[in-house]
Amino acid sequence: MPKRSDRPSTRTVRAYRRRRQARHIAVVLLALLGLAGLVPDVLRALGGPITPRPDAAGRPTPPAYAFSLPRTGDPALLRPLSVTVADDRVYVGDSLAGLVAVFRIDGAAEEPLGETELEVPLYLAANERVGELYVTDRALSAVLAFDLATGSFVETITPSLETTPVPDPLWAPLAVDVADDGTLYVTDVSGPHRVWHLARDGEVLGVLPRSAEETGAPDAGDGFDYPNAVKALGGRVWIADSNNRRLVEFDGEGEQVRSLPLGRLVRGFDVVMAEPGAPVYFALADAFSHQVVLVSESGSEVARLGEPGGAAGQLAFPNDVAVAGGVAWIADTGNARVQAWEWDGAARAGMLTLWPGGPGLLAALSAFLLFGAPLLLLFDLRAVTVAVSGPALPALRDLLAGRRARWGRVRLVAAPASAVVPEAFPGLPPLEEREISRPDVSIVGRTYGLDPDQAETLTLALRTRSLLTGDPTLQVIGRARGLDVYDARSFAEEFLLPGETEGRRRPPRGGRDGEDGQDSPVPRGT
Amino acid sequence: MRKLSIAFAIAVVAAVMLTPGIALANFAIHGGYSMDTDACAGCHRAHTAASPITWTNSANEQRSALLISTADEVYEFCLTCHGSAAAGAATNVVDGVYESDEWGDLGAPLNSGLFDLNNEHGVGDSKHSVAGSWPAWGGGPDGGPFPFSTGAGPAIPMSCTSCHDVHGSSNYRILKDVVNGVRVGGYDELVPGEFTPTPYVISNETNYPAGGWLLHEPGAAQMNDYEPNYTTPQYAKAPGGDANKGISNWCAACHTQYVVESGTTNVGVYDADGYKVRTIDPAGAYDAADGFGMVTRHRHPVNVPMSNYLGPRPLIGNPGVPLATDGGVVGSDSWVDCLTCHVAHGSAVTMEGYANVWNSTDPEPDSGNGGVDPTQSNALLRLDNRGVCQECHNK
Repeated sequence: MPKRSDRPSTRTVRAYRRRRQARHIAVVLLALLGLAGLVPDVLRALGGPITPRPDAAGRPTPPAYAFSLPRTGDPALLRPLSVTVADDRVYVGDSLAGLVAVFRIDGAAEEPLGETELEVPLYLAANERVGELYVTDRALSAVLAFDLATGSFVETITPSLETTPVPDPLWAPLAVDVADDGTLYVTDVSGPHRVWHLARDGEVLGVLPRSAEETGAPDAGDGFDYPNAVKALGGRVWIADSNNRRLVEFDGEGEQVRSLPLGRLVRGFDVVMAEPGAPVYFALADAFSHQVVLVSESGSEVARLGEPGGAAGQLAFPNDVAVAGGVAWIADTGNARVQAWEWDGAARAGMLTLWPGGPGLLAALSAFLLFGAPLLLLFDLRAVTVAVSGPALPALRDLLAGRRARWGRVRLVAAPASAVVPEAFPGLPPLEEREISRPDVSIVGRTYGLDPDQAETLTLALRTRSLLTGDPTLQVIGRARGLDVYDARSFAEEFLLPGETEGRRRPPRGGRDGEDGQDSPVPRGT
Repeated sequence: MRKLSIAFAIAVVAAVMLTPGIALANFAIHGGYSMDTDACAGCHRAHTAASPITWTNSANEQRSALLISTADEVYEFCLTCHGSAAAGAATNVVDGVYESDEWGDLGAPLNSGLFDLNNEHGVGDSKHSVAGSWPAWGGGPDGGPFPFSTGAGPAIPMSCTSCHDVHGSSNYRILKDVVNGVRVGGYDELVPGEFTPTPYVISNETNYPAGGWLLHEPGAAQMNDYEPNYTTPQYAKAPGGDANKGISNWCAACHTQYVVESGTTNVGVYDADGYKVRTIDPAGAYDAADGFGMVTRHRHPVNVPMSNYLGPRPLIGNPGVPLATDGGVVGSDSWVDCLTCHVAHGSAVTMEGYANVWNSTDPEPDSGNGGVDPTQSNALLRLDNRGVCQECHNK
């Protein structure tokens, strides 16, 4: 038959342990949640490319806004008109600054290129295999080649006079792209708007649309009106015929395959494929609707990115978009920034380094959780302050006699009236006296009908939230007030002798507890 | 036969569906709209517009232009195509350069001058503002309110759309039909449902419609035939030789006094339709804020032929100062008008010596701030100092 005093002690310890256990579970869950936010980064670190994830119908799901460039403290962009990605660098054509700004994929700014050569850079394209970046310049009427590795100017590319099929090779290059074979497609708005297909050395391989003489047909197809983008991929060539508000597709032979009406003022665009060979989708920068729109090859709209405005994730006159590595980089021209929109968190590799310079909310949350979890652990491991009543100390001293107690986590405090002479209890740490409010003591005493010593101890315990006492009245009141209440034995088990008491944490029903007899019986309820 | 008809019908429908909504090399989005156009929704929202950009109604009040986006200046829209990158139009009005050789010379200066919004070309304040508000020199009935004359009338909201109607107009270069509350062009509905343009400003460019721009599909057809020239002025006299029209009277919608003869001023009244009209005060005095106060002012004639001049030798026309002509042939019957000496957007020419005077009552050479009072700028002149005078007068 267990003593009545065993039950409250055991229940108190269990309650304390349940709370601690809950805290530990919370810490683990929060840490896991924080890590989950970085899973794409882990995937990225492992080298697996993250691609636009298709939905059940095979369409790319819309990406989510992640962050913007430049980071706080980095040089401002003035008029970012174009963007492309190569060698884990984001290249941004800034037409007003007259340079190409360069960022690491995590958002850190690097030295710009073309500061001395460029005047009004427009659109960009990179050939990673030969390590070159091609930049069209509106003021220079030229295509300039730069070395990707060093950023140095290589040369100007112009159509060869010997091979040009048109009598006047004056040109005003607007957009540029690199085909799989390293040849260049350059849109030209000097005269009748057209697209040059050039070898790297300037040899003219073709002109789009083909002339009537070339095709032998009286109508060689529709002309272009400010073709603001060209993309060559897998033997297919797409052209954003901007002012005609359409996409035009040509095959490798220069034959027009289709004209896709868009009803939008599309400037730059990029091709989006979930995987090689998958259906083609287009990310279109629509300058006047202030959005980037995902459409299928048939022109049906899949998703819209952004809305008009200047806040995070909002766009103003977007002029270009580049999709690479699971990120849509958008030249948010009117807001003088480049936005990163990510599929499956791919862009978040840079978020922790960006924070607090402007990461997305999710990134901040992940960082907070990861940092917050250890803080919670520290909170749990902090020293416990326990208010103690003087009469409990002899029992505790006797219980610890001859044993090695660990006092590291516990501080015992007592009200002045309850303070005892430390020398009377060798082996126990010195008690700290805490001043308490006399009016509070008076109220507590009157409320619970306590004597002054009891009232002082309870008042102090109400502040520390923990109470060590052998006084059954205080134990009952303390528990009723939600305090952690210990008698000498349960206190020793929990804090001082964990190793010794491991096997006794869950005493069997009917077993004896508190057999040292030093604790007073604790009545149930009051 | 029936199968052929069906196939033909399908082909026609497919051709229509695959034809772009607008394919206008000259005007892009600026007019020639069909009655079922979607172009309105490209820029406007009737009930949910977020942009604070306004327009001026007939009561001279600012009302929302109902534009999409949160852009707060209309020039942000315009520069999307006409900016220094000129990604949607060859007319780079910021740097004043034509970026193509299709309708002008590649890299040549635009007829209109330059706004130089990035302060790269030395224009400074010598330009029409594209934002805010500004008084028009020579505007208003008397030069400004007591006690400090500004040499101008009330400030006028300024933007690209103060002068140009992005939707098209009856005038050359989509110059507005109503400016500062003054009717300077438009359309008459002589027959119900049929609108006849009544332009103030026309051109001698190839296939320019001398009768003004029509609305809708007929206007789109005119635009397709039109061959503008953005780098060589080919200004025409006013329609029908009406000296009360032309670019000079168009400019006078704001610069009210600059078209009236010596000893008179224009005083504004409103007609029955609410438009401002000019009424001549034959004994009008004007304070130009140049130190001479409220005195009778004398002005260079405009909309008059060169032959009006009676001097030791006839006036000559030189390319530096484009005259308004009939059919593009410069002769003694050619007119001098505002654009003969001034550009519309901005100018980077320099003023020195007597062309740079702070106080006209004490004309100390080079005492000014880049011009003469009250503007203290080059006044958008085409040539350095007073080169525009010499181009004709050849003194």
